[in-house]
Amino acid sequence: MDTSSNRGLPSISIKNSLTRHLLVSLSAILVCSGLILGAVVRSRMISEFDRTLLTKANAIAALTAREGNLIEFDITGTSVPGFDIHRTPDFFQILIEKGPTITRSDSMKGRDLPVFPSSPGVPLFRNIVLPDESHGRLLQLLVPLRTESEEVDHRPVTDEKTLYIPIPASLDYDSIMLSITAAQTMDSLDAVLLSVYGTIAVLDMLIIFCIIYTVRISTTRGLKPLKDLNDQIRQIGPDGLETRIKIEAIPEELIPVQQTTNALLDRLQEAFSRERGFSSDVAHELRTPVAELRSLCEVGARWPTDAETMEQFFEDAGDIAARMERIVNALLMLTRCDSGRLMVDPSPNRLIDLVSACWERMTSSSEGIAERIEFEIDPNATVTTDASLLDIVLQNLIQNALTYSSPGSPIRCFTESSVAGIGLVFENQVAMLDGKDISHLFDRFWRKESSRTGGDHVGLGMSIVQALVDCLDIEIHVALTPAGVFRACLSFVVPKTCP
Amino acid sequence: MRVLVIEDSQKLLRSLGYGLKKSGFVVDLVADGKEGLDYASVNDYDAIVLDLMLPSMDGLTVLRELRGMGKQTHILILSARDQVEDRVLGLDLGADDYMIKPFSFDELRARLNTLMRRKCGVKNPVLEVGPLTLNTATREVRREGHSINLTAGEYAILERLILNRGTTLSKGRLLDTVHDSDSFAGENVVEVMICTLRRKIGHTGEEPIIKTSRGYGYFIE
Repeated sequence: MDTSSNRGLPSISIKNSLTRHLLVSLSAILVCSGLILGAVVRSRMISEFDRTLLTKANAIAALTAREGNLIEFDITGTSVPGFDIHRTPDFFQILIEKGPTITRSDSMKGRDLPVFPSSPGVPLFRNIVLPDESHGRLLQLLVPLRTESEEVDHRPVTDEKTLYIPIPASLDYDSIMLSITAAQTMDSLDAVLLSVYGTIAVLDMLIIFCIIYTVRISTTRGLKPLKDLNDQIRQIGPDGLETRIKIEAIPEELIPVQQTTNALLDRLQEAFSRERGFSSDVAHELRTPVAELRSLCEVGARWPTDAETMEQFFEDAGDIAARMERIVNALLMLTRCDSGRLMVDPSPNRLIDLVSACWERMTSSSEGIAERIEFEIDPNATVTTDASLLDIVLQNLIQNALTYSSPGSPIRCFTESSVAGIGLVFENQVAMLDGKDISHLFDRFWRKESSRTGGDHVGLGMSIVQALVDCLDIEIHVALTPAGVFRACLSFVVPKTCP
Repeated sequence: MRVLVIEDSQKLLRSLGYGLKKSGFVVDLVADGKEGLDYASVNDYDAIVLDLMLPSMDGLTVLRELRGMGKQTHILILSARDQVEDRVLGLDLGADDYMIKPFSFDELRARLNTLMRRKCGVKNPVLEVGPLTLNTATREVRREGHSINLTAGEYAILERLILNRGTTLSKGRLLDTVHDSDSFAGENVVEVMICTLRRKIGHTGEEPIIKTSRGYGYFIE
């Protein structure tokens, strides 16, 4: 729905926004998980690799011992898988710390592995480029030379089984430290890791595609009630105000929206209905007397010969003119009230005097009404108000009570006192009003009888009362009891005085 | 032409009733919707003038009820409601015309005459029977150019017979044309009027223009 407030602004789709956010979030989580998994796998595999290297280095250390002034190295112990030059090349070298090299593996081809400063017993791991130019990992272990015996009890000869190396005389035999370096290529490890990374990446992509599909389905289904709401609201137009929002299995979050929208539509429909009713009432009240006058004039002018009929026509014309005068005066009064141009001249008056004056005027011009109202007004009740305007209010309230009270039922007019002020109450039994009518009572041109037939009332009396009490700073409250007693109360607020 | 006016304004009812009667219509006046429905269902009117805002039963309900009964009487709505939707509603419910108050009495009269001609399937306001011409708009009757002076009742009967040319109308039917529902006049009134009419309008050749259907009524060929 394009409203003027939305023109020019890009529209945001909740569904697209939600889908995008979910996809980005889940994909990011998935990628991070994949990276962490890859890192964990790599770390574990390298740890295992390092443990293997350490085992090999310890094995090599165990093959080395001091015999007298010689270092004996058991060559046969190196013929194990992993150190075979013809298979996966492994590299090792043994040297006396800060001394000569004792031995190295054949795979070294006479070259040395790098030596790093390290602490005794603490394995040191490094990634290096191996002598065969491959990517490898090196372990350096500093261990004390194990003493097998102080004396050489046989003639030491280096052969294919044992290697004898003389210890330099400058070294203390009891504190010789051996630096054992073992290295192994990481090509196979790298290949496995690459395979793992590749698998993780492929899986992640598949999962992302599944997420895209699932998220779209979920958001479509999840937002369906919102779409239904949107579709129903689009259907509501000026001619469809009786439509109400109804969604099957409405989610909890949309219940307030549905209820509020329906309540708003109720009020809107009522407002339109009142406006239509008002237009219709105004048309009737203003057009009907004009139609009556026009018909009287045209027919009377066409056939003026019947004197009795003409007399009746003139009498009718007079009545119509009087009614139109009342309507015009009422409308002018309302206009003055609405525009704030009404001159208000407040002065203190005894309420009983104001009511009595009004009632006396009414009884002198209308016969048979003197006994209809029972007055119980506090003679000491004083109000500060414009007496002439209040007189109009009282006339209308009294006239309404006289016209619409049930025949033979009493009409009461009495005062009530409270902390807030004085109330002047009119109470009478009515047969034709019901609870729903109370909210229309002050509507302009409203009459209970929809045909608006007969009577002198045009439906402006209570509107004038409301407009005048607003100007006079008086409150009016109307109510209808279940027993059918109508009550109108004018509340005169006592001005607060400073202590 | 027999017309029922259903209107709750006594003043309007008085002036309309007086004016329509003076114009040669036979008029029944009713100020209540329910009573108007009763009158319309029992009697045969040429047209009904119907207000909408009526006590006891509003005009649209009266209209709906009449059409629901199958009544084909022409109905002209006369109302202060001037909104398009009100007019459309009235016409869609079966009204034949809609006039807004205030209105011209002459226009109302002309529209009622139009409804009458429409009822009889006649478009031309000037009707001719041999040497006789009858102008439904001006209510003038002439024979070979000379004006013939007829009373309102005589004109109403002649107009009814010409509009229903070829159809025999009963005396009772013709009586309804000249007297309203409150009248106690008998069918001999019709016989007297026919006799007077024949004298005034003359013959076509040797044949009277208004012919008798013995035991039943009268017709014009």
